[in-house]
Amino acid sequence: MFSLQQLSDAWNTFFFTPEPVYTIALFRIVFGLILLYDSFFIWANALEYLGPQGLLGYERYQQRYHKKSLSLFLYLPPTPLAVHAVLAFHVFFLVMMILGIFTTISVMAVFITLNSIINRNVSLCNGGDNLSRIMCFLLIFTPCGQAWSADQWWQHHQFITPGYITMQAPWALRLMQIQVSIIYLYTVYWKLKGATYRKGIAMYYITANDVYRRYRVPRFLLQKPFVQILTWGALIIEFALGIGLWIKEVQYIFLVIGYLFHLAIEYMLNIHLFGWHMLAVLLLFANPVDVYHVIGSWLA
Amino acid sequence: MQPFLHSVITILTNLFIVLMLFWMIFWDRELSHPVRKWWIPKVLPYFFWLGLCHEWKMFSPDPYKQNWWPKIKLTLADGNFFIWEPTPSEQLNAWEKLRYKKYHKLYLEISRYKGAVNIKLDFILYLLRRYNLEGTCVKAEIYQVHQPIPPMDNSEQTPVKTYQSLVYTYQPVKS
Repeated sequence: MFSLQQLSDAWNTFFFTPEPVYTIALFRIVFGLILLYDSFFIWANALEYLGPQGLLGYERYQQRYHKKSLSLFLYLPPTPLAVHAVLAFHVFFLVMMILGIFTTISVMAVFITLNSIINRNVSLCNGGDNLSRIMCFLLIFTPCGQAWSADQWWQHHQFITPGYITMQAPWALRLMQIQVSIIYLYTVYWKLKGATYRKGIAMYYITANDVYRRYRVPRFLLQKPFVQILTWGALIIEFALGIGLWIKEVQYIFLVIGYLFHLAIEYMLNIHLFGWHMLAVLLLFANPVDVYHVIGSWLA
Repeated sequence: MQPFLHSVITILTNLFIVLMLFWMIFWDRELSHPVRKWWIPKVLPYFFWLGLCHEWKMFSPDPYKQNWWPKIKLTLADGNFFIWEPTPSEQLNAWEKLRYKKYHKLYLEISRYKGAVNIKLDFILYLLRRYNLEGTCVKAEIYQVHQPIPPMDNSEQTPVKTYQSLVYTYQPVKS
């Protein structure tokens, strides 16, 4: 059995041993770009999504969420101007976050505006939106602005300082990584409760779903052995990603599998940005020293 | 002062980590799970306020075995009807498909057999506002139009049939 001291040491090593900050800095930029893309997408239908006369009327929104949610819309007047102002602030702080200007404050501001936008009409949201809120919340506690940022430029007058590697305790990054693992493991757990997954025919129904499918799969491909390979294969991959991303020796193999898996899902299914958020969070498992060398040498 | 402050920050950070792990691990468990049932509700308001509620149950435990969408019938005071249905996906161009894909989940929610009562009412009120029918509509009905997906073994022989069921009724103005 492990002693209390050993457990305490393992906890401290896992959460608090300093490591380079380049993985989380890269994630800040990629994640910010995805949110930026999504914000323009929301702006195209802003008044319908978020407006006082939109899909969820302002009075009913107030009734349901007053004092229950962190949302700017609960405190702003119910006008179209307020909707555009929140979106403008969102985009402004996203750009600040991507560029790394007052990074921690920018990430906090993005979290508040993102939460306001998502919370204004949760029935339009999917797992990708929920994931983005959680990741943005945890990003506040990371040193994501200590590399490849304007903040760093002002401090060192260089984006990449040769021979100088910023090290910080990665506890918030670890929480983000654990959250990604939990997503994969729980999704397998819930799917295994379904008879169609156990029989291996779930993928037939998913590809026949008009709402989510992007392309009609040719019927000759929807034969039982092929569908079973797809269904069980997806379950095996999801379970393996939940575990394998932590094993340093095979981490990159699983990262490649993860990217191919999510790109395949993105090709087949039209789930708003969920796949892109998953592609971004997989980056969290990249070794920071490798990220430093790859991106650093590219920038240099 | 410095070591004291450092200790306080360390304790608070560790407490935060434990709380987040507890939330991540137990929130998405079955409602009957003892921790989910007794302990999660104690911290739920705070996490809900922060917007950190999440479920990872997409397409589970089984994917839908039918395609469905809403059809809304508004009965007007003069006896006429106003019918609303979403534009079928095949009729949307590439930009529209991209622009309106956030609506997919909403359409599924408002045409569910059970639950989502608030979402159903919100959508009816939205239609009344949008088409300026407030005051003239005496009854609103949401129908679920559904097409069962034929079983895999017999998919080519089974013709696709369309059914319609009433899932929600609302009377804005008493007739």
